[in-house]
Amino acid sequence: MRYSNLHYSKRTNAPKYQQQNKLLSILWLLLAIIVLIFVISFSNLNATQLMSGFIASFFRTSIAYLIALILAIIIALLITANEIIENIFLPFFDALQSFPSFALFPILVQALKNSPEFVIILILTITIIWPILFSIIGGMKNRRKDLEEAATVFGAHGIKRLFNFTLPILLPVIITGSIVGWGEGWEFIIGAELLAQANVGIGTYLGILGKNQQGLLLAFGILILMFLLFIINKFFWLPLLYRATQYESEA
Amino acid sequence: MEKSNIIKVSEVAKSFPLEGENQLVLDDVNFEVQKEEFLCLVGPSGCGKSTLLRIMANLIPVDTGRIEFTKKPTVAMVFQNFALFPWLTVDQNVAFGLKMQGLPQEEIKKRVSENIEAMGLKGLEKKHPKELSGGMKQRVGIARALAIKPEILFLDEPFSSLDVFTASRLRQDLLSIWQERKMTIVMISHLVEEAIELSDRVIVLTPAPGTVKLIEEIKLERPRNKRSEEFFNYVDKMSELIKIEK
Repeated sequence: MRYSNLHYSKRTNAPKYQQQNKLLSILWLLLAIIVLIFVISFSNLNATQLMSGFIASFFRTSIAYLIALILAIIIALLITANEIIENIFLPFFDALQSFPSFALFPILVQALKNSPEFVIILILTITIIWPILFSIIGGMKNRRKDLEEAATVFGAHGIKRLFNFTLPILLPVIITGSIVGWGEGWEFIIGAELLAQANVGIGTYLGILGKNQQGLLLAFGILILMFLLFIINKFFWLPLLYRATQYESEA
Repeated sequence: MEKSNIIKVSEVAKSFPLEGENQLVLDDVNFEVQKEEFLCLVGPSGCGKSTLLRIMANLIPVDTGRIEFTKKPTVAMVFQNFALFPWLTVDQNVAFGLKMQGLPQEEIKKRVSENIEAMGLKGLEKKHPKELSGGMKQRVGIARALAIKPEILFLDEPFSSLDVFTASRLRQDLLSIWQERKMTIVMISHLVEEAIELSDRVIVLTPAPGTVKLIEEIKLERPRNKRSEEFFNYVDKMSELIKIEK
């Protein structure tokens, strides 16, 4: 007997199956950690350098993400507040997002010689902001009118409206934009750390391996980086997205 | 404005842009709403009922004319598709307006509890809207509106998304609440029978551009006997009027 899509959905959403999924995720995590330890132990990778590099890169990406998030929310809300402003600035930002942020590197490195950290974070912020910004703009344009009216009728104005209505209703799109932006940040950070000649970072570490032609170690290092990013995605972003979309507005 | 009136609608007109032109939706609408009355607006689809209600609730501005209140009232609204905030639980939805008013936590808790009980929602406080049936959702919508103790309650076809039995039950609940709490109600309905069953007065609007065609006082005793000859006479009169205008 073949189950219909509806029956399948009801089956996998049942508490019993959700618990099984959680158990499976924990098992996968444990397996990933065991593989990680195995690879590090037998591959002559400098675990301390690798992990400290990852932590440094993680902090840079996180700071850049937070700045990009705050800026994206402010800009999106300002743009969509007025149709005339939107018609002027939206095409401008649309064009600006195509500008390759790496092209700014030589200027920024020259201008901020003693601040490679600042250069990296600035470049990352410029990279991460676009998916979040356009995701929020899309969310603002598609938000339910009756919910807007209900918020207005029941007295949600100013800052109270922002925190009790606007941000909650935008949460699903903020998270989807953040997932994309975060991913793009990690794509860029390796190159950014190499170009800015950061003292510590995953990009710096992998760069050294590459320079010393330690190809196998480089491959292992990249594999471990992928594993770590997978864990962040699986245990942070996806559960957050699931929670947010659980309570998305019904059309 | 007479002392017993709470709202005065004078020469209200409204148009919306449509395909490059301004489409007149309401034209020269004039009427008054009496304090503590139950008033229904009926009319064919597209006659501007929802627009008029939203103008009165200060959600959209008029083009010309004005809406006057005897004093700035507390208003609340119940929506056709419930308009519950999906990220909030039942009790949080009911508390929303109270939170926006900045009331103390204890007062909020007390009023939420009272209105949840009054609307038969006890035990559902921690549920989210997507876990509720249509009837339950509308009960939450009504509880949310009543929690802020409105002087004027606007209802935009509140029962049109519900099945016949749930709608009938909720109508009776709404009547009880209105009689108990002595507030002014302005409701839109597309069902003439519903309007006559509930209202003190019914205003019939013409098709777009909507204007007042008839203001009829319903001189039937409450509870209304929906099988009486007088009831059917009112239904026939207004249905005929709406049919002719089509």
